[in-house]
Amino acid sequence: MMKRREFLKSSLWAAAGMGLVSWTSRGELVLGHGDFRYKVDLNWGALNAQFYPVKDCHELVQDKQGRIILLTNHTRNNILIYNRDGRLLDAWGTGFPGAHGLTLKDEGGEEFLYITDTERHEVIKTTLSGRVVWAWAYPKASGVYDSPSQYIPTETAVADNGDVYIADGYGSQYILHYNQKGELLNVFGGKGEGEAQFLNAHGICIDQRGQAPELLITARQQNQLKRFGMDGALKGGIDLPGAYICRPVVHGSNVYLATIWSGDGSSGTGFVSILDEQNRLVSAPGGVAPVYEEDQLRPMYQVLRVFTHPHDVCVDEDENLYVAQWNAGFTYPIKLTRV
Amino acid sequence: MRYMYFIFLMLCSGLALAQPRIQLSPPQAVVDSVFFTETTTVRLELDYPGVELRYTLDGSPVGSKSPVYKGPLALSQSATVCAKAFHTDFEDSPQVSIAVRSLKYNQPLSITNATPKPAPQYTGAGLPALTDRQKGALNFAATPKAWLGWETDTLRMQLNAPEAGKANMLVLSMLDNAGAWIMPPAVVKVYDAGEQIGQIETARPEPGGPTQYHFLEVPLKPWSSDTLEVLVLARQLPDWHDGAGRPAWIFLDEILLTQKP
Repeated sequence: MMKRREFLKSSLWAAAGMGLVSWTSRGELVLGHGDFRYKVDLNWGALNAQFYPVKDCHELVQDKQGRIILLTNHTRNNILIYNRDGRLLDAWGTGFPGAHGLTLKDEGGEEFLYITDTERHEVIKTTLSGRVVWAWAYPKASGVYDSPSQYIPTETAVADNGDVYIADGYGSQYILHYNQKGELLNVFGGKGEGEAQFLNAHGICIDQRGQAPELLITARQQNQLKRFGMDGALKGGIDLPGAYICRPVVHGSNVYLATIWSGDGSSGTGFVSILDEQNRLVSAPGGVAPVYEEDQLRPMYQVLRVFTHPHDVCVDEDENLYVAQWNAGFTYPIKLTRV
Repeated sequence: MRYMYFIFLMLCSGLALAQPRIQLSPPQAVVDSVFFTETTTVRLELDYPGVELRYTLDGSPVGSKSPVYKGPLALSQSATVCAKAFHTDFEDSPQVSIAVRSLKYNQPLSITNATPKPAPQYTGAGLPALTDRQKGALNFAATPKAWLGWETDTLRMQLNAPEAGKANMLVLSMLDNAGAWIMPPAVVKVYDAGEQIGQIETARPEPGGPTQYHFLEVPLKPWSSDTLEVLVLARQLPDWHDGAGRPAWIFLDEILLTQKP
């Protein structure tokens, strides 16, 4: 018997044969390119906004139970926890008015959340049920800040040895490297157009696909993903013209990046970017098909108004995607089911 | 088991029908050079299977009967190209527009003073940027040297026009980006030695308008000195806007004096 995914693929190709490449034979919209194509479920995370309101849906992670954890800056419920079908399992959090970045780390069997708050100017570590474990205040000791207002952290990455990297993406654009004890080890980056500097160091993650772990950091305004060693030494940059990328998420051999604006950066734009192991854009659900000419990506733009400012993407074990959006009319996350 | 699968399919198609219609994105419009003397070329693109692009050249709304885009548009006169994308499976795209401007009848000009000064974060390359014929990008942050921005009720500028009296139209190239609190001014007035020689008022913007640039054309009565004063009155952000009641930002990247034949 044909497996479900193969069945979907064959019906998709049947549709393609009829010139209807954007729909399955069941009438579902299909987005994406190459091997990375997805059915769209716009209503996946929809809830009754009277009881579980959202403002911006900023970031999403999946825990080892398979639950999808959403961070919103609505202080009625900063955290909403769904199952993969979009059913709400839990809600908590009232103290994060600037809830922005959400990173999950398994530390000796227990999972923790790292929440960056752009209004509190700090990073808060909590348990999965919301108990606060630790908070990183503004890094006065770094010597590069005069006041908390210059520090507006957007994202964290946590290494296996417990080191924490904080991206100050809306502030002074530094990357702050702490050890497990909360001691500041290194500061690099900073605002500027130099190769090792950032205009909007919005997202950061640890890339373990190569021989040695690296940091992937977005320079969103520059449409660039920058690679650094764990010591802060620049290793290179990946140009994605027309793609205002938010946070890199490594899953398997791919990097997934919600792309909040696209093309000329107009409002209402955006799509999802998927890179292969060579960090080349291979699929852009919602965007134009990526084309490389002499190793340069042709400038990207949105073709269908499915997404409005995607801010983060979470990849589950079946490589389905959950997309959280910023400034999208208080809408809930969208699910993309891989076909 | 087969029966169950059939029911599942029925449910799925029912859900698919319940999904909202998806709209096409606006076409990409790329121009060689917004300002030109002989010709310029506008290219339109929305690369998606089955998409058809239609356009107009006179700024009028694009409809299903407008000409179909078949290749780059070579233009030898000032024009406002409007374009929309169409597809049988999707809602028509929003309209995109791009204005190009012939400099054939352009008159020399310099801007000698602006009060108040531009906001510190949007000083561009100073006042000379307003007459360098370098068009700013729609995403103003991408060409920070081109755009000058003011958050003020009233902007006054002094213009020096060595060929006094020759031009009969002043053109201000302005940005319209409601999401960034930038709108064309409500009123522009032009004075020659204290005497008003031109005025234009703009329509109150509606919500949901695209990010675009405008060439605001102010017809001028005959004038004689080599110095003109231009008074730009900011639009108050309309009641539908988050910043209702505050002055919209004024974003300027070029000022032209032309002699219309």
